[in-house]
Amino acid sequence: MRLYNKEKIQKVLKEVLQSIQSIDLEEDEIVLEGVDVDAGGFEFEVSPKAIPQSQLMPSIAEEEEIEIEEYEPILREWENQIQEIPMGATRADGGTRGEVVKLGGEKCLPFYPDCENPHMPIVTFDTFDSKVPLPGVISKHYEEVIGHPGEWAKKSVEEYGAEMVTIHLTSTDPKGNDTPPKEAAKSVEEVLEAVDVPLVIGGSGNPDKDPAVLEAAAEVAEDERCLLASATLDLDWKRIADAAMEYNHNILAWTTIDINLQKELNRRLMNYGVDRDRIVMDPTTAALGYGIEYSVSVMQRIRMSGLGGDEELEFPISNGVTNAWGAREAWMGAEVPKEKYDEEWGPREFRGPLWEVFTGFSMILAGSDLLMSLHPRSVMVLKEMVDRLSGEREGLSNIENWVTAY
Amino acid sequence: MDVYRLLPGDNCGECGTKTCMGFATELIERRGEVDDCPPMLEPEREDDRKELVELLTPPVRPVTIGTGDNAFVIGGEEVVYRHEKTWYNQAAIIIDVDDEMEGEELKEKVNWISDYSRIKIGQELSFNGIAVRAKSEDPSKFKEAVELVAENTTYPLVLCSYDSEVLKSGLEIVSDRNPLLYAANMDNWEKVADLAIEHDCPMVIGSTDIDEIVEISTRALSKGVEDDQIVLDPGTDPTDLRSTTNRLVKLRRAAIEDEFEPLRFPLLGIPSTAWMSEEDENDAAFMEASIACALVVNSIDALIFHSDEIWSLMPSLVLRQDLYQDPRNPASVEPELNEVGDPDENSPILITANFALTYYTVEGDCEGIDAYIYPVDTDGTSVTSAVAGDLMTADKIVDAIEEEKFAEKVSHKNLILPGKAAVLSGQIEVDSGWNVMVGPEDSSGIKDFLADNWPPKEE
Repeated sequence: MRLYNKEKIQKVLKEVLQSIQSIDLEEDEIVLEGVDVDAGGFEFEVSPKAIPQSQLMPSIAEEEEIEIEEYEPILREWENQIQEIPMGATRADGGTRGEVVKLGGEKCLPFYPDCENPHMPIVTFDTFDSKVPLPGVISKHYEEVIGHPGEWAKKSVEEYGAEMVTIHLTSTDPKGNDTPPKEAAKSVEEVLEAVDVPLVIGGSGNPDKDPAVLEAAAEVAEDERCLLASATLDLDWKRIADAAMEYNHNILAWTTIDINLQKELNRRLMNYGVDRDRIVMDPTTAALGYGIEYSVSVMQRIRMSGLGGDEELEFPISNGVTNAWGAREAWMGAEVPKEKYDEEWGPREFRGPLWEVFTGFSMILAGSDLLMSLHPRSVMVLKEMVDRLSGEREGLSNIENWVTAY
Repeated sequence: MDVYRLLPGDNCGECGTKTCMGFATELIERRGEVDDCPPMLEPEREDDRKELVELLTPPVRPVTIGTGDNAFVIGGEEVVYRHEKTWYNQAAIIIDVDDEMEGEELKEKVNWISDYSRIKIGQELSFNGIAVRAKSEDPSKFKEAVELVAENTTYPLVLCSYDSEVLKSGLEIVSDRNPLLYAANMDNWEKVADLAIEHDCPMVIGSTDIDEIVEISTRALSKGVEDDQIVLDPGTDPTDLRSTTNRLVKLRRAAIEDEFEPLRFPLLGIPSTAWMSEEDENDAAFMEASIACALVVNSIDALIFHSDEIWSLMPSLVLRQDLYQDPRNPASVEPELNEVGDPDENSPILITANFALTYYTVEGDCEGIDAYIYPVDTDGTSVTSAVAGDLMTADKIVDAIEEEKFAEKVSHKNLILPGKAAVLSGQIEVDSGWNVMVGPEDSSGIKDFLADNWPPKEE
């Protein structure tokens, strides 16, 4: 005899009973005919009690036990997985990095109940090859290493636990020092020697000169699998793509808070032949209080499209969290000697880093994989928050006691 | 269409909209309320009115806390992600005090919370309410503290204790102020629900177990608690943020995607719990703020903080302002010649972009001086983006001089351009004949710039 799944029979029965609620149940037996339970002539004996009283006799229902509906939380499965990108190459792969850092690989939205994050977001510390205008609360941490990128990188790794380091070749800016690309590339060598974490290499942001600067840097860092920052639509991105493929690096595809521009740039890179495991996106980070909502929403849309199967958007995301320091709430008070800002907004030693934390943490929650960050305290807090989000941390057993605890 | 079907359909216009179809659109877009239509209030339409109200109730039921001008609404949300439409009711920011604080200290914190205000992008940033914690667990002590708090603020209150006798003693003072009762759990829910019903005020159901929340809310509703009087606290664990945010996501989906009745309520987060896990005050304030950040991005509806340091609270005030901007309308201002202070024909004309944030920042920096500000129509983008993206051009500015009749407002021919738009100055001078002065890179330097350069020296 064929066995029938008990739950299935119960489910069918429930549906049947619901469909006959309007029938006046005077009989103590109902024959169900033409009901497809695949059992060839089932006959059920139904006692009126099997039907919820409330549906039959409202007056009695009030005295009945209240029915507690069970709730099964929605868990969402996505079609697609975000591309996994290796950063850095060890000796086994021809490089000299101590470890490979992996970005991406997500199967659902960040830290959602639907899945585990394969890799936690990574913070890369900003360093510069020349003196750049930094707010005093930041520069005081780096005074002795400014102008010495190797030392700066070393300090970031040894003192602050940097998992990656970014070297911005800002001295190449034609409006500034206008350092020739080959000379600037020496700073990259210096950093590669000083630390063994994977690198991000940035230009000065000058669209005419950056391709040459990144080419020279890519060459001296051959096979180290650095992230070249950045390919954009308004410069000769093909040269950067060529440099990445020839010297074995990854590319940061940077656009301005616009999902369609990001698709456009990614598509061009892919059609040009850049491997899928070399592309990281930077959809631009607007700071807290200065358009952060645009960044949050564009990133969420990009990530949902990527997970939903849009192959042009299925890449990890990087964010320039340092942009938070452009917000006046973060920096004002030191350079503009007006004590009133400390009075109105609190000490800048705290408000600056916290502004950076909010900007960075919002990006993490919107899908960031890599944060470019600057202030040691911000980075410490961001890493701590990521750890608390990881699911590895034990919770407090008595949170309800907050009412009396302090 | 379902909405229109329930309206009278006689296009009487009493609601202020010409047709019932137009009014239906207003209702769906949440620009009007059912009661704006007088015929719907007639007794014979009672059933239709009820159906209409239920039809228009958003998936997360809105809950009002407090009374008078400072009352606020939480919940009322329709989407999980703001880009799907918009988030409506800003997450309420509530700060806690306790009943063991000294009188003066308590009064000072209450006044500080109630008085704090800052204008950003033309909107006021302020806190919303005060939570009084019964740290003493003593009804008479709690009552005293609530009395002192109530005397010093008109802000809505949250009364915090798991002991219904303590809550009751607080209600003796403020039952007419629609306070939020915190909190019902598996042990005390019946007594808390009785208080909520008796005093017609909202209550929080607190548990980290979603099944327990479902059970308590089902029973409370069946007992007679109104469905717009329940708020849920699924637990804010300061060290295990993973389960904390996962519960938020599950509950938000339950309300919005499943419309599961026992969970269609606003969510309360308590970053204040950070003070349980940190020893150092500054660390606690840092952690509290960062936890709040995670909750706001995950669309929490209300938050309770402990800190009274503005550096730790301001980021949350700003983040919620940002995320609750309606993404359907980019924040911009009209491109027209605006006045700050009391300008005359000798006053300077400052050019900027019409991105609301940019404009109001410049306006704020002009506080105390008399000037005209002209925001160029840059599609609501900042000066830097607009110059890069050809949205702020010499042509637009030259046209504005003509169309906005700058020459009728002032007797000089000088424009002050943002430092970041300096590249446009040459062409503007050639095409308009006006003299262009390149102002500071950041508008915080405007006053100093004007002090040094205005009025311009005769050539």
